[in-house]
Amino acid sequence: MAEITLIEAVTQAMAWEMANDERVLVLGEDVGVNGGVFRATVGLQKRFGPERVVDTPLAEGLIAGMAVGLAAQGLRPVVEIQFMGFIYSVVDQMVSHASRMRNRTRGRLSCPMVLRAPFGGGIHAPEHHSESTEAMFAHIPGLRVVIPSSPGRAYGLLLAAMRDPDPVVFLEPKRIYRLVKEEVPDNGEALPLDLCYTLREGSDVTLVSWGAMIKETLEAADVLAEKGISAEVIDVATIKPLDSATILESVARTGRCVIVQEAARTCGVGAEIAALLAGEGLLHLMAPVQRVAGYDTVMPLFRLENQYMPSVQRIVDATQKTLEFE
Amino acid sequence: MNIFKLPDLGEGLMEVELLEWHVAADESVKEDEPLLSVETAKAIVDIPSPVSGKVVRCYGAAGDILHVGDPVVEFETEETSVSVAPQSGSGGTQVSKSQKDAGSVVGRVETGSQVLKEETSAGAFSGAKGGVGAATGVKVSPAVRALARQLEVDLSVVTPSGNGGVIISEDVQRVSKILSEVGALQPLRGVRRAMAQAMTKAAAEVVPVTVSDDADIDAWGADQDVTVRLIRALVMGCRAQPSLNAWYDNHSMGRRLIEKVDVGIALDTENGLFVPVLRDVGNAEANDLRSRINVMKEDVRSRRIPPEELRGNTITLSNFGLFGGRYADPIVLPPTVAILGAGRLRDEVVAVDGKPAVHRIIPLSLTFDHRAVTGGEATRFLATVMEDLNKPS
Repeated sequence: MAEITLIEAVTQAMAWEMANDERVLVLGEDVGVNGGVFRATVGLQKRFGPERVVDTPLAEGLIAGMAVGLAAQGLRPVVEIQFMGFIYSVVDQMVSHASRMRNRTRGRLSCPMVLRAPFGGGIHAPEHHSESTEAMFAHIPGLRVVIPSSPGRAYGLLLAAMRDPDPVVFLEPKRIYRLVKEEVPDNGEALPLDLCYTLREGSDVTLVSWGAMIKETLEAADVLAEKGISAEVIDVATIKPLDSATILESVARTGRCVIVQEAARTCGVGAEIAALLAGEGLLHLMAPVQRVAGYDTVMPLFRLENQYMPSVQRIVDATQKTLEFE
Repeated sequence: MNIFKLPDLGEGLMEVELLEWHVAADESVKEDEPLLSVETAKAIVDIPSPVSGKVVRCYGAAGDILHVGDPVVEFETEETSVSVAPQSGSGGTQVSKSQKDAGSVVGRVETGSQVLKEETSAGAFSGAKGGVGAATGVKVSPAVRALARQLEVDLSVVTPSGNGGVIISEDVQRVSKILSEVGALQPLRGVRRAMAQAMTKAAAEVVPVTVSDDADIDAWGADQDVTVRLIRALVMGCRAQPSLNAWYDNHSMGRRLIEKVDVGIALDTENGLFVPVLRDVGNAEANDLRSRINVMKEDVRSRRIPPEELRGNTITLSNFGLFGGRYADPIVLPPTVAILGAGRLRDEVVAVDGKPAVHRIIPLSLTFDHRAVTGGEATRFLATVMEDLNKPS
């Protein structure tokens, strides 16, 4: 069995589903002949033909609008948007139509589409290619927002997203597209949506993160272990709807929580998790919840990018702060 | 980052008490200079620095219990002292242009070769490895938690009376009042702590049986030294019944019979129970024994006794009768299999040739580990001991 990267797992998942469900089609800019801006759709047009792997015009609103129509009429479109900075014209279609199709038609129609986009910084790209605006979608009722952090979860969660009867925003942390490899059996087995994944069990503090920041969070857990601190690490994976039970159960044991997000701090998903803990986990909290986040600024150009991105040291410092709380 | 962890101090002891720091954060220390002093179960030890360098952080304060493997001192190393330089020049679009396929039209997607092996569980913790966290089982609001901290009440001992098992401020107040009446909890330290651990282990492992009897020492002259005579009698018992001078191995279910008699003498001190060892008492003269006992006692009182003189006894003598008490159930400490206790000397009416007579009596209690010693061996041992004690000198 081959070890594959996260981006290859994305390709593998789409190929499996296209081979096994003829309703699935892929559309986006350069997804066909070129194989996608990050190579997520390499080989798919050759294998499944230009009718199912469609190179679209450079018009994101159009792509999303097409997908809404295709999905409402029974197909399973998977849309690729090249960068988060190009996604804002898609938001209108997602908010005004995709997310509320089922509700608006009183259940007569649904919108089983997947909106795929790479997100996050760390690849020295321009600022409007590097942002993490997942909270924007998580705020919209009727949308699922899923973020994998490993090849295995990219494969299993994307399969689940394509099989979901409602729209799923599937955001891919591009910084770790090719950073690690993992054995991912190509067996068509989906992972459950709407659940967090406990990556490491610990007893002193709960570290909660998602996407590329899982890398720094796990590294921070290693540093903390050196210092004799046992950190539990939770990958949120599906940020909407949030699996509150897993997070609450963990914090009920550890009493302390540090949330790590690459996105700007204010109104991020971390704020939602902190509010969840204040509302339902208060009686177990032994220290204020800490958030390690990007800053409330435009993502800096690449010279300062590393200053913006939450570092292992910032996560360790925040953890020490919760542990030293009196 | 370079963290020095508590090494195994070589006595098979897994924990120590931190007594005193000799360094502080931001100070420099040379290799082999003392970092801190700790008290092990029996001795006070200075732990030297493994490196020369600057101390970033000291873990723990005087009075803390440290376990082997716990972080002790964090040293500054080159890695941490060098600030992260911005990645100029090498990054950016130049690299992606120079590569045939950078995996992206803009920026640079880093390619790694690490292979991920994850053990993940979807959803909640499986409970297998994480252990018990600090917050487990206690439900309490932050305000009440702060109150408990202020009143120095350990929330884990508070019975909640609020709805849904929540600890409310009245609960904390109630416990605080009780605790203020009984006084603060004194954590067991040093020798006393070692005693608690050794006794717990003994109770969990050993299958003890105690037999008691009286030795008639009426024939003794005035010059007889009770402790020295007891040691001599013990040696006689061991020679007659070697299975009592032995170590039992619980794991491999085996015993080692030992020829030399190294007797551990139970000594009560203000600091707790010590069991220093008199080596090879079978080949020692009475005078020699007495002087060795005196030196040993003085070393224990002054805490100068080296750790190696507190280990490796093959059998134990507890002369508890110096203070009072007739018979007892002395505790056998693994790996030894027998302990002899001597109670208070007394005059008693005994039958001599069919007539009552008042004789000097020493009461004996022998506990043996029935896993390693039979009742027959133990009672024959005791009979030999009594027979030797009967002798005038």
